[in-house]
Amino acid sequence: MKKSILIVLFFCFLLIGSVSAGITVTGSKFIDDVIPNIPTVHQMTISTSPSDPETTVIIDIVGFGQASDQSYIQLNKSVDFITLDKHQVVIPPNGSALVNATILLPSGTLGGKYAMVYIHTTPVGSGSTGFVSAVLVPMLITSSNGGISESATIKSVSQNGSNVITTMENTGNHHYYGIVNSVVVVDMKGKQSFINTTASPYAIIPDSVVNFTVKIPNGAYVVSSSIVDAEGKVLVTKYVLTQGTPIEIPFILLGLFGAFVLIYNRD
Amino acid sequence: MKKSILLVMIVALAMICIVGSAVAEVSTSTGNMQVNASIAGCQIGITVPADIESWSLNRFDSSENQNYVGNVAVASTCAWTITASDNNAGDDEGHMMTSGSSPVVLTNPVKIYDNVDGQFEELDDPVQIGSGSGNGAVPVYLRQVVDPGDEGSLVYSIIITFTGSTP
Repeated sequence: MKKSILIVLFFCFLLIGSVSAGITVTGSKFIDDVIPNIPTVHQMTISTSPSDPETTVIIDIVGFGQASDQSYIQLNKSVDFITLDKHQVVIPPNGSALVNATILLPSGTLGGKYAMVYIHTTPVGSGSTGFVSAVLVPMLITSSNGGISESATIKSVSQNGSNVITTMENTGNHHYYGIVNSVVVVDMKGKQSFINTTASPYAIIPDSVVNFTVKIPNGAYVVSSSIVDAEGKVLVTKYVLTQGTPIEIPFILLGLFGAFVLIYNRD
Repeated sequence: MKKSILLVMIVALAMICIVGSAVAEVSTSTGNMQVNASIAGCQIGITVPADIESWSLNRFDSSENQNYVGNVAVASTCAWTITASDNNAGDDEGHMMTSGSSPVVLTNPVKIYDNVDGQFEELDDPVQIGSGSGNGAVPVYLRQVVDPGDEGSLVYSIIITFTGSTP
């Protein structure tokens, strides 16, 4: 009895209330050409279900960011080419609210412009605890002026155990959809293996640095990694020599062999 | 003769109609305009689980400090992703803490199960916990390791934001 009192020391994690909450957003993505100097309106409808309580929803324009796993994240960055007609709505159960985002590109805009509409509820429950439902609406805008510049670089190809990670940066001014990382690995016996990632469902936006990972047996390889767009065009290729973890014996043997040859030739 | 007159009249009428429609097209393309656009097909609805009413954390057996919260229900007409993040931005991001002006913070961060990579991950950065298309459900598991130095008998809490997106 004493032992159980000593061992079990509870920390309380208490959340008040137990109401689930949800929101539905129609118009959860904007991807289109926009004529500079002419306002373009993207309409979004936010709705609740009959089982939801009265829900306060906050709407903001945020910067468009991308994590290394390619998922979209919001950036605390001012966006001056989109305005909202409202920043907060209170929606009754089974109700809806219409929100307009007006895009106005300055004349002379070239390539793509990117931002997101962040729609979120206040926390479920009371006090400072609970969950928040949110929807990020990606706004992928292409200027009808054209001037699209497409380019990409591979910043690195590295091996971490059985993962070969290609880090790509979009150095152009327009997004890519359906990017595939096409990898060829050659082992120490000269055996080739071809691995393609599935086409990315994300838009890779300008300045984003994202990873593509393929799995191979841990070991030493010559690796070629190519970033390929949705049309099958190779944007960039990089070749590297990987050593595996820990460093594979063939390299050690090669090193010893090289040292032996040097010493032998000196004599 | 009558037939040819009739034919001429029909051709003339057709020409008037063509000219009329051309004029109509011109009149709509002049002046400034506002364009309304939306991608009709994309919609996403997410429903977060009910709160954890009470989660008792065990100091000496942290493997038990895991909680199945429920599912994030997703209804979408497009491909979707669900990301979890801590609402609190600052040095203590991803940690449970007490309320008040001088909060007591648990040493270790909350971890959430990443259903994409199949492992628990810290909430100090947004974690993509699920993806799919159409209707689906993303199970939510939380884990909290208690440090021997953490203070007991307090109420700790965290606000987690579940964000849906149609990339």
